[in-house]
Amino acid sequence: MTTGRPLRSVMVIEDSEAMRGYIRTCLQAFFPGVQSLEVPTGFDALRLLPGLAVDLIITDINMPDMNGLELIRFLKAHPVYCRIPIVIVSTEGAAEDQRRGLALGADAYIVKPFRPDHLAQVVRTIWLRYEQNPPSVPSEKPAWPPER
Amino acid sequence: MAAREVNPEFLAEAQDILEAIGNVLRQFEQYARAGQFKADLVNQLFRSYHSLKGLSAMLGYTRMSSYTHRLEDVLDRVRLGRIPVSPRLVDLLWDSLETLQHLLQETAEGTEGVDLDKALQAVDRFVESAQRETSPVGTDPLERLALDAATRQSLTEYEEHRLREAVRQGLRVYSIHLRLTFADFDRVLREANAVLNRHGELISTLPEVGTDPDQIGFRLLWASSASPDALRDLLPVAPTRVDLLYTPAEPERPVAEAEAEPAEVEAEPVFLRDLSRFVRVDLQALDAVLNVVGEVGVLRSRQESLIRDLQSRFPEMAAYLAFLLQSTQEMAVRLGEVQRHLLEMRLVPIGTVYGRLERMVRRLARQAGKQVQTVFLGGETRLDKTLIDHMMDPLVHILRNAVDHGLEAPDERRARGKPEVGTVRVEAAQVGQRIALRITDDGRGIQLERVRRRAIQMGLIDEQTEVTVQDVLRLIFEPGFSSAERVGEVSGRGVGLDIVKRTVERLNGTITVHTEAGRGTTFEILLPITLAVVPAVIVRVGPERFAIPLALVQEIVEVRPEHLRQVEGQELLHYHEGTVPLIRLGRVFRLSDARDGGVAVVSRAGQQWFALHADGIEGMQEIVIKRISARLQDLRGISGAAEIGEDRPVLVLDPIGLTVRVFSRGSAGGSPRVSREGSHTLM
Repeated sequence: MTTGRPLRSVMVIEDSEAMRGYIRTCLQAFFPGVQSLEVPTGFDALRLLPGLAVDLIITDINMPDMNGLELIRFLKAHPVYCRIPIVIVSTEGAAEDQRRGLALGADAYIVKPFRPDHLAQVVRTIWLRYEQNPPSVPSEKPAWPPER
Repeated sequence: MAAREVNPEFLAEAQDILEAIGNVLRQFEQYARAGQFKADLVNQLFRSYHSLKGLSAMLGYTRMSSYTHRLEDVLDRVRLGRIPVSPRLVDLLWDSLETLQHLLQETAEGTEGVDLDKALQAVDRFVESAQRETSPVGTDPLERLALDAATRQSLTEYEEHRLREAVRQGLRVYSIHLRLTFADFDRVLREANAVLNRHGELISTLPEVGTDPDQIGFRLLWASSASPDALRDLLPVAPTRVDLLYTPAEPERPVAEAEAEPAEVEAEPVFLRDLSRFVRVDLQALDAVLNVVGEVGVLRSRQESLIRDLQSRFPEMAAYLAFLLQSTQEMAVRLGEVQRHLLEMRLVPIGTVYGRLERMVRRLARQAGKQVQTVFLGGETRLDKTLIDHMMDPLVHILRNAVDHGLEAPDERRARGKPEVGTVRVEAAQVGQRIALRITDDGRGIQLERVRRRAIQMGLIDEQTEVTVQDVLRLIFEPGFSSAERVGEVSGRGVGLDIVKRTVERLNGTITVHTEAGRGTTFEILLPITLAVVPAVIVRVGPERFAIPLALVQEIVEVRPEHLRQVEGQELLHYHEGTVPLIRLGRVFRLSDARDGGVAVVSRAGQQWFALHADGIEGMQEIVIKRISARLQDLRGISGAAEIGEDRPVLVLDPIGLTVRVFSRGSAGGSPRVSREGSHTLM
């Protein structure tokens, strides 16, 4: 499944170290050679993104400094980052936050705890979709800034 | 239950989270006591329980996850204003921390010791009784905010709630635009966030898309009573734009300089911030690097002696070799720096264990029906991780004593004209190159007469012996003393004060106690900051050399035949006005049998003085004590190994362990009874 395709890289934004490790293990088990870039906060993600080519972002919602929704809103309004698919990984019981994440443009929402193959299935589907149907740069004025 | 591998990362992270909860809870409680609700603290607590739940659920620790899930739910309701802050909430959270600690322990051990049903029921009972009626339906205060739809979409439910609360409370709601240089935006922003949280509540941090790649914009939503002018003075950078999204209609509230802080609230401990900058490193990995650095140092010094050798053989190369020598000497300086940095990395703030200690004090006080107020100061004081680990049991024991024996019951305190709530203080501070820990209670003090009676009973002193206060205080550190004194519900189990003292001394520290009848007791412990580098005396024994930490050396004296004598097979050395037993290292380690001359290194273990005989002194130097293999570690009297600049490592002696080894073998009748001559009392 990986033949002939350049290696993928995934950025994981998650404040729990053990959870980052779990996600990395899941990814590496199903996508051999995948590069996993893990950061604990949205600030770190903002800092690193300009120098990286990222094929997927997996982010938590509840995090210090900046929550996942705030980050997603920014990414989806950005001329370059808006093309990176986003998967939210968060716990159940936050239905409203889940709805908002998807409304902001996230591609999927996975509820913790999840099984490795479930994550893999979601990621595979997203990559397939983006390959067949690459998103274009939004020609419309982005949602942001609204009042200028 | 089938044993299964417990994920060590989980244990480490869960422990970190519990400690963070304890620290935040302490601040939260101080505000709550002063009648204030700190939303950001509640949210931090929520996030901690949330992380713990997610983590334990993911890894299949279901007992842990079902309990944390329930608590996360409680905190969620608190932060959304559905459960009010109350002393009962604070108690529940402290209890939960205790339960979590046990749950974590059982997870680590693969057992199921905690009564989970009972713990869950306690949470349920609390929720049932604490539920607040839902607030009356009216127009959504959010409608009164000039907030665009896209922004509103990116707020979490919680953030929305906080905005509503701000409007309800008549605060101003600001939208603040900042443009920051990309190079250090996170630092500046965290600084700004801290200030804004002190003077109000930062509700949302929204990054903005810009065109300049060297800059990044942020929009902050902030609720506060402060005026726009005051806001501009607060920020570390000038905002590019400030909008008032909501201005209360009511007459202005007095402009808050900062929200009044309750008197005893400590500044937020520095170590709680900037967590993301840290990486966790296994202590063993650090030690491994330290060992390599030591080895490189050894190679370097061998290089230096080779260069010197070449210099004397090939004078025509003198100029080159001088350069070479200079560079290898510079390398030594650099290696020293590396070593210092590495040792620095082993230091952690002692505040990381304050939460755990505090929980314990509260639980004990509750069990004993006493009221206690805890004050923990100097949490930022850093010392070696290993030292902190070793000090946990002693600290726990001293705190137990303070609660169980020190503090009086509330009615007794009232009768004595003292406040009903007793105080237990723990303070840490760096004093020169040492760390001072002070544990104080304002209880009844140590009852000297009772200690004396007990000592007589135990045969430690006899009825007629005149004892000073200091003598009596020394008695409480005698083996078996404190634990036998009274096996109370709370203290008196596990370690006794003798073990406390021995542990402290083993860590090259000292412990003293002060007490005043009716006023309280203070234990003061002095410890080195790090265990790793210690000045040591290097002694020669036959073909071998040993290092003895200087802190354990009282004096080094020359041994002359006329200073020696034998009593019941034990060799004694005249020392000042008395005698001390002489331990010949050559004999102990079967290295030499030289009888004449040599030196004696005088040391002591508690009250017991003794001298170690060696053939000579090689010098003094700073050594890094390394752990040695478990097999050797069993050898009492050896505390580790150290490189002293040549090929072969030397063993580091532990004089205290050595006396145990020598004396317990030497005389079958237990510890030696050496004649009581002169001024130095021997055991």
